[in-house]
Amino acid sequence: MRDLANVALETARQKGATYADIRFVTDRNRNVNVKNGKVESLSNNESQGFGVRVIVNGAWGFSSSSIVTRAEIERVTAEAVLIAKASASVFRKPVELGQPLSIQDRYVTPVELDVFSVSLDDQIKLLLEADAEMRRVDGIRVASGFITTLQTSKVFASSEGSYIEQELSECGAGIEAYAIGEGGFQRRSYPNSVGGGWETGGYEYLSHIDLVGNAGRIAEQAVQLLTAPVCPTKVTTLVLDSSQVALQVHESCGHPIELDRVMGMEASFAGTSFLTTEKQGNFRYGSDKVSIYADATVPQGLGTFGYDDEGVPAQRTPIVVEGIFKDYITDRETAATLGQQSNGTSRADGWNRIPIIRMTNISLEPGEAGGVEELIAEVDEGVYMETNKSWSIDDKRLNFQFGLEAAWEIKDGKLGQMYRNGAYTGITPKFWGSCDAVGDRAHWTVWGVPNCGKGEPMQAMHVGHGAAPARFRNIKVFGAEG
Amino acid sequence: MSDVMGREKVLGLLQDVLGYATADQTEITFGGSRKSLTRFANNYIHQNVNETNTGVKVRSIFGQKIGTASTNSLAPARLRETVEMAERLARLQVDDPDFKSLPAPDGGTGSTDYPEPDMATFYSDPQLRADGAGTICRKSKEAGLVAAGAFETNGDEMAIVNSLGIASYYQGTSSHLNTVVMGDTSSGWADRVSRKVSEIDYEAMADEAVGKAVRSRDPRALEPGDYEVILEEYAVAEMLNYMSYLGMGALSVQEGRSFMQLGKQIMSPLVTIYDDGHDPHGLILPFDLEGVRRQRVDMIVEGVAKAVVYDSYTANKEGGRANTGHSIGAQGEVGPIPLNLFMAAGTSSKDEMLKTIKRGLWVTRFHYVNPLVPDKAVLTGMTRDGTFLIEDGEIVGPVKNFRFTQSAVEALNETVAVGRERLLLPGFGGGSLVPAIHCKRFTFNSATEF
Repeated sequence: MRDLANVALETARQKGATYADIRFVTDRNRNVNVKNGKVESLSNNESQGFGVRVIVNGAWGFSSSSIVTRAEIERVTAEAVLIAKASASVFRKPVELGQPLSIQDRYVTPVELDVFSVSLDDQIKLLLEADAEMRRVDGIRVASGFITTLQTSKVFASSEGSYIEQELSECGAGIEAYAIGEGGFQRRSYPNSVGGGWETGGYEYLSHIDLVGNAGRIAEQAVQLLTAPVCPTKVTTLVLDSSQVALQVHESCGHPIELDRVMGMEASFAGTSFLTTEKQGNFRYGSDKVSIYADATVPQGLGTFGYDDEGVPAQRTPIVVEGIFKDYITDRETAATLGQQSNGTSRADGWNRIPIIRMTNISLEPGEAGGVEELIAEVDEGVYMETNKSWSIDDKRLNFQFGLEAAWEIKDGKLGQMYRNGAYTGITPKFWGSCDAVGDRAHWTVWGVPNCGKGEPMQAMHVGHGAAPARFRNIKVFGAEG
Repeated sequence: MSDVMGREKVLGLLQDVLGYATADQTEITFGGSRKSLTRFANNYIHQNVNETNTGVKVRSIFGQKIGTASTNSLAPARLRETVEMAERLARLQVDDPDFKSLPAPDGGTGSTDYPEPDMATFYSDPQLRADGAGTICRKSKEAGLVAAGAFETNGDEMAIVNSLGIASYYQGTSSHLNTVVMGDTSSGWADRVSRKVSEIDYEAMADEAVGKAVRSRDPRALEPGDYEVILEEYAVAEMLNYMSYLGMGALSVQEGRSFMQLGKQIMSPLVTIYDDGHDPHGLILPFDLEGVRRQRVDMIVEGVAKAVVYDSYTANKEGGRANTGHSIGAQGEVGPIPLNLFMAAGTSSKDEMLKTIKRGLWVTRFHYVNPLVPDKAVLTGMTRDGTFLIEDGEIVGPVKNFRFTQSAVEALNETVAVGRERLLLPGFGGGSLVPAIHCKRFTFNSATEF
């Protein structure tokens, strides 16, 4: 592969590029989906190709192809140079990348059980067993489950002398139960909704979760939700399970700290950010219970890797410390504009996409408050909500609204009546400012989000969030009705 | 794929792949694409990319056991391995009792009655996209504003063959440009999609977005609540796209999670919504992902829920109902959905709608929409890029943005006027040709700070 990499780097140099890199990427994934007692789909997908990124006349160009041959690499590199020249015609100032990087290394995701070593028969059997458990509950109309295993091989080479190989492995799985009645339909999911649970690592992830053991519980709750009253509208104390805290971090912290977004580069698609640069180091983002880190080294985190797609090493960066906003997640170009070094968050969704700033594992540090039970014990009146159903946030990441699969009344320190269609809304700094307790490390989980969308063309990224359950005071909750 | 392969070469390749198959039934899907996109922000180009890719997907069936495998390599050895993998997976399967057969050819299969692809779009020059981006950036700068956006061109080849005789091929193009133009307290938006890059009028789009950014300066805060609204085409397209996904396909009806109460009046008589993959006013998609010719389906006719779209799987499940040609691939959670949406034009101009409103809001577009109660099409999202207060038939000034939580079905039931002009806008995989609408009641449940 070094020879082919050198073809791109040398072609780019000859055509006037002042910087070039090439990434060769091979993705392989296997998916098992079951639904209502049958195997809905069984698929194996492979994709390979390369992408060349160049700076010519101070501007970026990128081109990519699925045909990995010497001639195609020459053609695509020349095309990237032409594209960069067109970029330079609508120009502000030359791109600067900060200090040059020259690293030779190899990183492999630590794995106990190779993701492709477990037979499909065994995976199907496990999912069908969970599926049967869900459908054993009267009122379940649709039961489904999936297991996805994934391996990515990457080679990164740059004109600054880096040559980095990475072998990354991931595993995801989940189940869902839909109950349908006169009042509509209700869904419960395990271990998480919208894409299930995910980790980097091997097939051992399936032993960290218990699909079959949780199947009956979520199915029963889905049926109970059909006749549960709609969540009342009020301003009250809200306790969230750790998976929803993770998504709250994702939307209201993970995205607004992307420095490219802050600098307006995502304005036309997903928007900008309220965390403008004058706020760095002095803005009160949340209460002193709130500390958030970006950490691409967390074991099993879905945003864990050895090097980002600019060849910058994975690292841990303080984002919010005891409520004060400290830093952004950056790539080489944006970090240089602030006089900083990249903190290694530039990643691409495959060989055919340009790397952009992506969350790694953006995690709320654990507190000292125990788990959900301990958080609720100190609440006279409030609502507990679990598992995300819907999410939306404005284009500066201030006004948000989340719908949850299930909610319960909290009365005198205990859970009471179940509610359906529970939702809450707020403004980001005010919401985090109202956080008065975060669960402890024993209740802290690194949740994987396999479908974070950003960029044009759209790039779906795998990211992670460590979170424990947490409590928030004076929050507007309500029930959404059709 | 740096060059177009063409009908003969692609179908020949797929027939060769079919020759490797030993399953009872086999389907081979081919996609080839050349995608280029120029992104600009802060009045300059900051990303500029190109992609050349191919993909081959194999669906193998033994009895009622189905396996699929895909690769993006066209090397004969890899294609043979992919067929073998799909067959190996199929043999591991359990029977799917609802699967009857892959679709067989009918009268429309393999027809070529679609327009020639636009080669200027297929092989678009990066300088052409830079010129478009540059024009918008220049006009924004002249107005003291900042532009961001993306200018995209796509050239696609798509083909599907199966062992029952389907052999469909299409070569198409599309171009898409969007831009947001921002001031310190305001923003404006413009968005267009077309089969031909030459039809994207970036001068006019720059004027539209700059004009709105100027008019929406210094918005004032307004209480959330129920308002009479004019929803511009951008907002209407967003609602329709979500409705198509949530409830206009047969699987959502079969599983009891659709808002479509077939035969009932669920929207205003002014509302007619249909899907047509052949209408040249939209983005043409002549056949679905099983190679079946797309039929026009009238889903909402004068407010009455008339029909949903089918693929072979959902049609067979209902015992021989007609397949309308709306598969989005092998059966899955979503099922068939309409990708070429049309909402029939009405008789009003937006100015005429405005004059009838005593107090209400003018909404340019929505942002980050998501379903909150999917079976009722209750959506939530934000307004963005130009929200204005209307009083006594006139726009009196910009207001800060709101969050809405509103059933899209209800909004279309509350519709009292439909625009006579329509815009072609991006959809979930295709295009949506939609008018603006005037709704008597639309619920905004909170506000934001800008």
